[in-house]
Amino acid sequence: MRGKLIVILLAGVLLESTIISFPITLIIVSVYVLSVGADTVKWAFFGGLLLDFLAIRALGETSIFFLSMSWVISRYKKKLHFGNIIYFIIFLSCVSTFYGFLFFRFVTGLNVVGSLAIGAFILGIVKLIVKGDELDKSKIKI
Amino acid sequence: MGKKNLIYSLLVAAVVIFIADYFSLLGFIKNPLDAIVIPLKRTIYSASILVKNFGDVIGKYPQLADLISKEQNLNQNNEELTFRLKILEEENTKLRQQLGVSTPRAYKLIASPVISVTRFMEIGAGESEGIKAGMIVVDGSTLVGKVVQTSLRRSKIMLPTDSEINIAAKSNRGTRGLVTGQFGTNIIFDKVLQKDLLLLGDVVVTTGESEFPPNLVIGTVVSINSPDVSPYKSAKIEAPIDYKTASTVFVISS
Repeated sequence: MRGKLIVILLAGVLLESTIISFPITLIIVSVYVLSVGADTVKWAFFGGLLLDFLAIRALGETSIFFLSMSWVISRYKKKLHFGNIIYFIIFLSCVSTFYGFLFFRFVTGLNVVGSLAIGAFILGIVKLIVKGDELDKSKIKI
Repeated sequence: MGKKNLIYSLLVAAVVIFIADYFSLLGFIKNPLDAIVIPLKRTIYSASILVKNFGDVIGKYPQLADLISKEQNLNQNNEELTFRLKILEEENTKLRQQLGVSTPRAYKLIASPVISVTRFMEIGAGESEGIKAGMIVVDGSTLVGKVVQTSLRRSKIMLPTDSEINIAAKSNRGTRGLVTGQFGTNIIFDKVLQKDLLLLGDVVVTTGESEFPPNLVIGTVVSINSPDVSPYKSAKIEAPIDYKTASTVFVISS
């Protein structure tokens, strides 16, 4: 299961660093952290480092962004989960807009809509790969 | 380790790595890895160009006969113009010699393969080939961009479509302005005085001010925006080359 998720993350990193100006790695990482859980924070760290290296950015720059985003998700976990789709949409829109300004220096409405669509697509894939009981259910614990 | 502690530890590690890289202490790890990264990125980039070109071929298939006849005409024109150019160059050289004027300065170029194009263009040549930040990149007489960052074997180029680039430019009618990028896809010829003449089809070139050499082609004016309330007008420019499908570019080293 983890192997497949890592392959998707690597594919995202390669695409973003080679042919597209779109925050696909950010979307993958945010979906992982939201759906699979805290273990994926390590992937956010290593994925960010790899993206920095491949895209000739300062090493650690993207990792810091991804980890800060993971911290926000864990801090506001009761609000940020897939059961509350409005908060998730707002969160992903804000975070992809901020990322776009920071790393691509532009954001268009189409990019934000694309981020949401790809986020939904990746979530669908993650749900197919990860068995239901392995998905992060901590938010529904009482 | 708790979830929060794990995030904090990794954040500290990322900050330490960031600082170490800022002071160029991680070159011993990054430089050997370039040897793997360059062919990998080049393969992915070439595959993406193939896919884009395949889409173009399918889209233009109905006009194939037309395109073939156009190509034949262009080839014929090209041969005639090349012949005329050769005669004019010889004539020009002789006249310069007679008048005692030195020949125009030729640039020393470093050919570099393109390995990726996202916000920046990345080339598979870096400090080991003598490339430094600030050098200008061309394709023929067309401006491709400016080197903004280098590693041992790779360099990052800021394209004219980037919103952070500012190039002093003029049109073939002498109208001056400033070229900058918009949304990572468009090139804008901005800060053109309303009184200055600017028409569709005008060619925009570098003026030679700041770090860009003179007379490098940036593009052709395809639309003009002239608001009544502003002292300036702007124009959208179309570059003669597609940056997203370039395969080799040349860095001006001197």
